[in-house]
Amino acid sequence: MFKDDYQAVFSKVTASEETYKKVMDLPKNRKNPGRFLGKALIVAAVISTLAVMASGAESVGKWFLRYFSDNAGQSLTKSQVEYIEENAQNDVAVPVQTPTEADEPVRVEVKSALTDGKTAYLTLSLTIPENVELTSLDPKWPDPILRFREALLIPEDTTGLIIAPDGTSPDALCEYSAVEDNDGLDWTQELVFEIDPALEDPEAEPFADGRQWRMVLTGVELMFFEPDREDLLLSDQTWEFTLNFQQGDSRQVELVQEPIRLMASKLLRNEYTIEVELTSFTLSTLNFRTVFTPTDPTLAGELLDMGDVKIVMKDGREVTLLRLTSTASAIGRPIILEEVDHVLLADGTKLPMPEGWDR
Amino acid sequence: MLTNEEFTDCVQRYLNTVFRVAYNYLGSGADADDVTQNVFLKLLREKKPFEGDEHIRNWLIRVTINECKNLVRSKWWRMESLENHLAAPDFEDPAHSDLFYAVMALPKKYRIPIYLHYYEGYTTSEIAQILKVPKNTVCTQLRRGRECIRKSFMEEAESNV
Repeated sequence: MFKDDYQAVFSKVTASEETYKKVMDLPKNRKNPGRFLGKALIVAAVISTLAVMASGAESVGKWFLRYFSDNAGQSLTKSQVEYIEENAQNDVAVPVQTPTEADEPVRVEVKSALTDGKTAYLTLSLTIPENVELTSLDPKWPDPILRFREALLIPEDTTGLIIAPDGTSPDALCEYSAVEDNDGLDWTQELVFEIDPALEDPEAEPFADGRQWRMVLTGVELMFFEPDREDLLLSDQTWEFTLNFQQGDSRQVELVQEPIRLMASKLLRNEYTIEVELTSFTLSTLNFRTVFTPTDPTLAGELLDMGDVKIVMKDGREVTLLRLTSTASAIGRPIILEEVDHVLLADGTKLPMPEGWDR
Repeated sequence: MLTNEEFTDCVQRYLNTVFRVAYNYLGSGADADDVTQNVFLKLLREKKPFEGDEHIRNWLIRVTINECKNLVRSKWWRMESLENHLAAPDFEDPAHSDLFYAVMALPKKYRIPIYLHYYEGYTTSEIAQILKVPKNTVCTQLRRGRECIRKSFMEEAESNV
């Protein structure tokens, strides 16, 4: 009886149509040279990317190039590569507390940063002892993942930010990915952190020049997927750095000239019946921000979803953003503002780049 | 590596399994959607061969649980209560709605074994393997989970008297 009722209840819990669509679309972004090399434009982009990457093998931005092209599922354009090369910063971190090499075989080094003042990316190099096995013993399971037991980011100036009771910026360091470094050494990893702090003020610039942050990384562990293997703590040491970001292209463009009425849905419902007023949509190189409020004041504070949003470039390329649910979010790759034609909302509304925005 | 056709087949068969495991772990449809996308991205990128459907299903559930663990470790997530995350489907039968809330109010250590056992049909030994816990622990979690649900229904009935 319990089983029947339970199954009846949880058969109602299903992934959203958007998730189904996004997951089904994943193979479209699969790296497949045969598919991508067909278009002359892409060939040119690939060649220019490879040329820049080859010439800048030790360049500050090289991990960002790999990270963003992985994110986009395709090579970056020449202008994106140039943006990264010009704006990546190699002197972002000053070590405050790092164990000596004699005491600690695990090493952590901050390599470079990239920010538009709103979203920041940071690359770290992590080295573990050579004898640590980084492949799963049972081929049925994925290889283990190296990760920090705790990664905290603490702003010196909290203006405009949502701050946890312990003074940290919640979630700021929770997203990081390993980037293939092709050095042939299993025990070295390059990590790219996407830092997108929670904001109280939608106009806050958490990484504007002069704003200092403290990063505290504690414990390095290997997380296994095999059911019978415990996670392995490689180090319980703490690494602490002071971070001084320098904005690259910090321009932002406001795309909403007059408030726009749109339909939104409560999360998970997919019933776009709630009217909201969009009063701001700002786009910067690495970030987009929105301000919208439901016209029914009783729904203020409700988490709402306005569906997929796309940035449409002048050459027809499209960049799909996260569903429009929050007030600020990282785009996931650099956008060259001069190349943007318009932003396309889920209901078909176009937000064109305003005339003369770059004057 | 799975072909695109094999991947599509897996999505059609296991998308909701992955989503429901994530939902039971996180109590949030939006977070479960994110985790589901990440899990299938990992499946697409997995280079090791799979031995069959059961292997793929077990792999997906295990990777989903690890993805959820990673998300829950973030401070922001821990600061928010389940109530803030929970968005229930619409139920026509009020008893089903009560059961949903009773299940989602359980500690997650009970929710996942209950889901794997009563929905996916895994045995206690299989659940023990997937969750990396002793078989006896799974039996205890299933029993206590059911007791908690029964208790919450009895309390509800008493409060209505």
